[in-house]
Amino acid sequence: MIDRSQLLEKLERGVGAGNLSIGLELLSAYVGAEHYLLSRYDVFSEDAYAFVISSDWPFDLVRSFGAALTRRYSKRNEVDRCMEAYEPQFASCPGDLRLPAHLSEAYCSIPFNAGQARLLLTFLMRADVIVARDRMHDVALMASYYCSRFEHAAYAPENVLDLTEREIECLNWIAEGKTSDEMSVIIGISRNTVNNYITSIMRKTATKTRSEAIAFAVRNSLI
Amino acid sequence: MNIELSVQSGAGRLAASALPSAAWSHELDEMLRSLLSAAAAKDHAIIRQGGASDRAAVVLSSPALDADEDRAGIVRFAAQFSKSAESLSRPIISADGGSSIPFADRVDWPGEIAALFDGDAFVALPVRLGMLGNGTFLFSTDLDRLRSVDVIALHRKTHCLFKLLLTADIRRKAPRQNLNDRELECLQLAGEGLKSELIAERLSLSVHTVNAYLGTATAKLDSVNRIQAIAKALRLGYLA
Repeated sequence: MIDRSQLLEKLERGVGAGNLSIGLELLSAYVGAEHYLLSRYDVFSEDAYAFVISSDWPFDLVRSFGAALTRRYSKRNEVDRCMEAYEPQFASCPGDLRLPAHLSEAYCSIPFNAGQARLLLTFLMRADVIVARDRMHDVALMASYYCSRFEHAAYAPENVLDLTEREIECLNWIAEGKTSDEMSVIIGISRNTVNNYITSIMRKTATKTRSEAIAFAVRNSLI
Repeated sequence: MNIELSVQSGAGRLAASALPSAAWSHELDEMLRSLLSAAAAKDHAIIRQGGASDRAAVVLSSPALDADEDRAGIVRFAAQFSKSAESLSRPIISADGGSSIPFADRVDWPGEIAALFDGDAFVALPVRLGMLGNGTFLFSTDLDRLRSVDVIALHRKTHCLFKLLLTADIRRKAPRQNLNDRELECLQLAGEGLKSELIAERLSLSVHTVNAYLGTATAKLDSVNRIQAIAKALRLGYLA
């Protein structure tokens, strides 16, 4: 097994080569894992695979287990996600999952962040291998450094960044519990204008109610 | 040491709040000592990010950096790192720090900061846990010490420290404000765009019950309406 400083040098070369998977293979080898799946739980969607950034898992496992893991993580409470960032989690695959014979049921998942992206790196291991736990912690950070250099891994999630300043201001007041009437007084515009802003916000964020719009804005750090 | 000074960059609004000593645990102390000795830091500053994106504060620093203007300068310095989203992840070192640290971004010591810190080189280790608990650990050291420092081990410790700080924050807040499961469910679904009728259908309750749950949740979260309650619940991490 290579040591960490050699690994870091090779990773930097991987960035130069512009190939994300080279580095992921190196990181897998470093911890003694057999296969890796790099997914993003901040852009998870049921009917597309954009959440998969790179993987050498058997494809059916990506579709079933990989999607399930990422979906579960996307629904996790933010406090838990912050406390669990960069912490390797060891667990067993569901019993009904059909794994290739050479792989162990045990897997290791490491949530981490790269730039504004929220990622999950999940390793599958050979049945006869003991995994280096301490190295897993190092991998969390190295994966973060490495992935932050790749646009297609670390791109900022598609927030509706074309909300105007006024619209953001309205959102802030709504989150404080203000009504349209109150906002018209506070901001100094007519109630109709306020409602227009709100309609526009809901259209841009594809939300159906004020509650949903606020939830969207808080989740995406807009307010 | 436990005073949190907030400087809102640009708007210039100052607010001061104290981190109660009860929240300062032995664990935090140990972690900080371990971090400072591993870094062989001459001067240091720990900057925490508030909930809103541009409110940062120096939580801890070496005695030389206690003055308000000094801390404000440090906060401004740290703010420039987070302008580029990528550098939220990677270590940042002073430009003359040599090439010993892989993946580090090199930044020049701005004049005003150089005067504050006693050391040849500086290292800034950004911590980004998610929406909460973010910040930077900034320290100065000698150039030759810099070459032999284990940045990854340091960065790991920095993450642990920030998680301990976040835990202290969470313990400080009233535990879950006693929201029960039903109240949380209703808030969650309302935040997903469901109106009371649909929530009622989904949870097999009557509309009145749903509205009652939303009402009690609103009261418990000290809010004027369910929308404010949802915003608070999200920020406190009660909702996904």
